[in-house]
Amino acid sequence: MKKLPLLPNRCKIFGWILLVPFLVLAVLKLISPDEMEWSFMTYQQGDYTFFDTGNWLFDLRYNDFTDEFISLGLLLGLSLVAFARTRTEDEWTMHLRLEAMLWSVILNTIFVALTIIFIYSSPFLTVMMINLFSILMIFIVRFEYLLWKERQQLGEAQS
Amino acid sequence: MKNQLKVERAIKNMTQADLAQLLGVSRQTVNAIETGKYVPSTVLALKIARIFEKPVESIFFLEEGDYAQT
Repeated sequence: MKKLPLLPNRCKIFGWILLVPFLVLAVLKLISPDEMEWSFMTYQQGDYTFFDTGNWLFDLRYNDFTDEFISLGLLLGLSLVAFARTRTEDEWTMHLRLEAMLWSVILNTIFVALTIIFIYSSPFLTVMMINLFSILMIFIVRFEYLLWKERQQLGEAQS
Repeated sequence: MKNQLKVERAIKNMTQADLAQLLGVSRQTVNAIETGKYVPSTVLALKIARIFEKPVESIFFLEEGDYAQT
C-alpha cells in the first residue's frame, strides 16, 4: 500500500481533547459575538491604508483575535481527529475513509446550495463560516459511524 | 463477486483473527471480505490464495452482476 499522509493514531485523542472546549467556545462566540471579546486577545494590526499613506506606524488598529483563535483551535482539533489513522489501518479502513469523505463533500455541497438559496446578507456569512468546518465535521460523524457499525457486526459474527 | 473464504478457513481450522494476522490486515477486513461487503485488492486476494494453497479463481468467483459493467 502506498504511504498516505495520515497522522498516527494517538493524535485522535488529542484531537478530541482539543475539540470539546473549542466547540463550546465556537458556539458561544456565534451566539454572543460581542461578549466573547477577551481583552488579552487583541493585537495591533497594520491598517490596509499603509498602501495609501506608506506609513503604517500611524495607522494602527486594534483587532480582536478571539475569533481567529477559536477558529484555529477548532480546525486543529477537527484535523487531528479526521486525519488520524485507525488502530489497524488497512485497505478496508481506507475504503471506508474515502467513502465517508465523498459523502461529506457531497452533503456539504448540498448544504452550500441550500444556504445560497435560503439565507441572505449577514446570516449568510455566519452560515458560510460554519461551512468552513462542516466538511470535516460531516466526515468525522460518517466515518466514526461506519467504523462503529463494523465493530458491532464483528461482535455479532464471532467465529 | 462471491467467495469461499469461510469454507477455506473452516477446512484449515483458522479463525478470522488468525487469517487477519497472517495477511497483515484487521479482523474487520477479513469479516468484510467474507460477508461480501468488500472486494479485496489483487495483492490481498493473491496472498489469500497463497495461504490456502489454491488458485485465486477457486476462492473468488465472478457473478452475473459483475459482467454488467463491460
